Amino acid sequence: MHGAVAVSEVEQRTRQHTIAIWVGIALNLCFIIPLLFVPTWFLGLFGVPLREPTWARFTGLLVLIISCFYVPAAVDLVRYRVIAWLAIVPSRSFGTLFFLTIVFVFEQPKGFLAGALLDGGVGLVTLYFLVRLTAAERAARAGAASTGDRRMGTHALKVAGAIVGLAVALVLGTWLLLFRSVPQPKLLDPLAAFNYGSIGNESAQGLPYWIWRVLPKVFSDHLPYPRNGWSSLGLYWEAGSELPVGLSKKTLGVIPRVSINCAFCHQGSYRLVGEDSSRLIPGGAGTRVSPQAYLRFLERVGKDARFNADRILEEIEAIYDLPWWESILYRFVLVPFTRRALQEQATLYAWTYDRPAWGRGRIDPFNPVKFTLLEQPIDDTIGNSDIMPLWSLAAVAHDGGARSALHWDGLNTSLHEVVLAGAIGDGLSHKAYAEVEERLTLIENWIRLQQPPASPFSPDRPPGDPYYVDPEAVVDGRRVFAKSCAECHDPHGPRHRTVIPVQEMGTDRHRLDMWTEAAKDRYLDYRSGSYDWGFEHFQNVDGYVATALSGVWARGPYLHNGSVPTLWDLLQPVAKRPTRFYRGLDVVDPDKGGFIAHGAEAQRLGTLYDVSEPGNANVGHTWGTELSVADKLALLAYLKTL
Amino acid sequence: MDLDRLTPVEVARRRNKRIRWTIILLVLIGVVYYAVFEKTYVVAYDSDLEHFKYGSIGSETASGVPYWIFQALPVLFEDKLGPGGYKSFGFLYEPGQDLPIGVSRRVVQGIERVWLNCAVCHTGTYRENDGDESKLIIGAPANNLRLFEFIQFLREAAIDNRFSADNVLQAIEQAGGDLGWFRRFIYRTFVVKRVGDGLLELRQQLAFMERQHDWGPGRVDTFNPYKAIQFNFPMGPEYIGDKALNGASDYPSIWQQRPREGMQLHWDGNNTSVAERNLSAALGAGVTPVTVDRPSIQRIERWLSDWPAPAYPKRDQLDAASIRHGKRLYGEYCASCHGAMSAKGDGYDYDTRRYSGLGKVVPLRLIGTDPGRVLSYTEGFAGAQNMLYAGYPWRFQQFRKTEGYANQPLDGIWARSPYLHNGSVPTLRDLLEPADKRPAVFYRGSDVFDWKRVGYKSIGGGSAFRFDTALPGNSNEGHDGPRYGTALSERDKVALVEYMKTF
Repeated sequence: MHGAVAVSEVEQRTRQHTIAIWVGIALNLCFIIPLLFVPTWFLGLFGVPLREPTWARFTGLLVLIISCFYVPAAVDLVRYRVIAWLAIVPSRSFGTLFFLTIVFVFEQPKGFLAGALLDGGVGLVTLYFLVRLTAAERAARAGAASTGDRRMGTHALKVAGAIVGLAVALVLGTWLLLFRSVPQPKLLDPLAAFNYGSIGNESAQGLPYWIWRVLPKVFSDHLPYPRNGWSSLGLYWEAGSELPVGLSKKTLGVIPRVSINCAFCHQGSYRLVGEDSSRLIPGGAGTRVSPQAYLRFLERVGKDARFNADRILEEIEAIYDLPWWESILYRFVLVPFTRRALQEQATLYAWTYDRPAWGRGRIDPFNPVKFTLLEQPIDDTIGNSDIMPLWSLAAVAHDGGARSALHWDGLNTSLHEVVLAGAIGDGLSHKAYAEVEERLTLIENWIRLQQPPASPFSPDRPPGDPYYVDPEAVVDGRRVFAKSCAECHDPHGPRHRTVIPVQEMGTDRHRLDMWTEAAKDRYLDYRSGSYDWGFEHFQNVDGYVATALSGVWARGPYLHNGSVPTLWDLLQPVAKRPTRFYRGLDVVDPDKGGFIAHGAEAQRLGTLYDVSEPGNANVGHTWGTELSVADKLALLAYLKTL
Repeated sequence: MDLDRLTPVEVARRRNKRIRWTIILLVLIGVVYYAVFEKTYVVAYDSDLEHFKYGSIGSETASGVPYWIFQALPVLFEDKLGPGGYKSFGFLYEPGQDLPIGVSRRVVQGIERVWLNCAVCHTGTYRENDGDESKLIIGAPANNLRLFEFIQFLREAAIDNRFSADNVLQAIEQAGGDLGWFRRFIYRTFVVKRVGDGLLELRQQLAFMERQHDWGPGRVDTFNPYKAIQFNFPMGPEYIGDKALNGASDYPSIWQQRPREGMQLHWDGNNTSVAERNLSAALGAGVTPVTVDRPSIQRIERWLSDWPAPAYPKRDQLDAASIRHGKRLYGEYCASCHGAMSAKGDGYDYDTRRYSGLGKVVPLRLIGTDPGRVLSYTEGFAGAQNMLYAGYPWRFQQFRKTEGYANQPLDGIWARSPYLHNGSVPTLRDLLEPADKRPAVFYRGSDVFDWKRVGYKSIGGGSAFRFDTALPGNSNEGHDGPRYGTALSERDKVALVEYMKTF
């Protein structure tokens, strides 16, 4: 009696399995045919971008070939039983795991889940029928079916379930431990949000906190002079703050990560006399920070043999009682992966080695974006420019207006887009965007309203004080300014915040040549996977933007490439401007305006600037160089007070 | 047929038994491992004072040496230490104690280790007359502790050929240690080598001390070794000049801490939190953020909150008329920055609202004292300190760079000589002289008291330390001028000193 039931069940299960195989092949064909003939359109439906269709076509072909191998099991299951199993493991199950992993762990577009759904669905259904069939066969063979034999089928099902469960747990566990975003505590103070807030770039470049904590101690020899920890990069460290200005701490999974934000570059500092402590200028011109020193430090660390789990863990455990599970994560995952990531970063930035160094206060801001995100070929352009201060931007905040050219060369006209593109350049991922959008808006609004610090130069100081300026000179200087400078540099001047053609400016044009039409077009069409960032205001222009001069005393060196150390030097004909000086000392030059750029202290703490290097020319902007000495002095007095 | 076949019930019971025994064994191994390798053991003291003198703050685990090696070093290096052993560095032994004041013990991984606690730097002595017995002043600057020489001794021991397992074991025996065969084996194979490695590391980390002038007795350079040990800041001449390199200063007194909370603490006023300052000082004594024994430190902290300043020993010999006169002058010249004795007669008045300058930093250009100490503390270092104790709620948050020296309360000032932060002026009376009239050279190292001028007597000869104010870090300038009382008459100055004896 039982035997007969089992026999009929064997037939039934075989039939069901056969149907499942054919359905699976049919579903595969639904992918194969479009992949072969219209791959770009087809993958677009799933939000998967495609730049190179050949591989997609070949993938379609491979799936077709694989599908052919499923056929024998559908024709004669008894004879080709092993093929039925191979269709499940590895074929369907590995496919499922692959697609799940790339979506949930490596943040690829969600459209790839279609693959997981197809492979997973067909795989599970065929597995179920196959397991029940096996059980039924055993029952039939035994003749008299016992419950024990029936359990065999359930047992196999259990094992299969455990394998699937384990795979899911692995993916989910990895996500929970290492990738799940834990929101930062809300930073209500806009300045705190700017200085320490995450901009959503941890998954791209967040260093695990404890690695970050011990790096400057273990590798102090890779830091720039004076090698006194993170401060040696020129970062301002506020009293009591866990991190220097410009670094944020945010947890992914269970691991806090440290990564840079806008304030890493956009922070200024100054001292009125060398013996004082520095004072922070929020959103300032980054005059002493050295972004390249940070890059170089991380590159060298990544290649250093000392960067190994034993050494790093030893240092960490000397200062923190790391829980054992974190210890395991650090030893086997975070240290090796960080090392690999740093090595990869070194490769990405290899092009910087055959171009002039950025030095303190400067960065080549767009070439890294151009060569990576925008996928432009590596050219030989040099975009080295001063870091711009983020203040007095309220007037230019109306998006897209003719008088709102931003960046040195006006390559974008929307403050919102500039903030967003800046964050993307620093590694903001579109996944994290929803979480940090509010903060970026807060930062954008803060930038609109932020003003430079009050000038230390004042007629109210006692005469004889180095920062005293003669009130009459200031009045005279304002007159000279109105006549000679206001057209471009007064916020109400007709050419303020417009692009002045480089032929007219005569300044170094390397920065302009760095930005190309192709790069602009790519940015306008920039997508992360299916996500279109919707940029509209990138443009390619051939000149430099005239900005207002508020806080100009704290913005030296001058011109877009920082090639002229002081305001006084800028009023001199090109031939009389200094050709070699040092950037990065934050002691104000009370005579010439700007920062002290010569002398032992400037040489020790600063980086050498040589105007003969490509991109460093100190030519152009000869306005004001023809003035009388008296007028120049008056103008200088006025400029210092802005 | 197998008649002895176990029944299914028996099989199950046997299996259960095996599982049970395995679990018990694992738990036992765990407990033993925890008890021997994780947990550490200290001596508990009933009295707070004994705890201060001999209780562990957690420095032994990471920085300490095994008890018997500590005891063996003076035997092994008798040529360097002399017959007095550690006493030659100014360590103080109380009768019946095998370890000096300020050296505590803790059993770590089965071996008793010893290292420093707060008392080593904060226990002073004085003698009424030459030839008398020294008397302890708990909480006073350790006026005779030669920490520089002690560290240099360890740094030299690191490369001394005599520091070998054989010699150390022999010296241990000579010092009265009976280790037994097992511990001898452990010492021979691991322990001596590990201590040697530790000393070598110390030697390298503090290599810059070769460039420093001897701190001398009663002084420590707090922050330069701190930079090197905690953060690996480079200390070569291209990174730190002679001025900032010589930041040695007197040990401070540590009584009456409660009223000091919120004042700018440390000589340069770089921190306003007593608890944070204490955790920082503990790092200096050798704890790490992992090994620190916070309850122990908190016990000392509570006790020091109200530990009284020592009363002047010869109160019966004070001149009442002179005191009245001195009191008036003190109110006029000194009180606004240093506070004064309470008008109600209930001790020192630390009210920072009444005395507006008390506990605040005076910029260097105004106070004019030696810049070494304030220069040794840099902005970059203050930033890095924010990472100390990271991961714990007591992470440092109060450190900041200042540009001068902090005004301190003068409670127990008689017991805090020599004066100024760098101990460059031997007596209170000398401090009231203009800088060019203060002793240019004097000797530190005697604890015989000068009851007239108030301060330790400068006695040369023997092991006395010649203090030369011309060396970097040692300047006796500053705190000078009519505002500071150095232009007063002889009678006024005597009266001021007389009055300050009552603090």
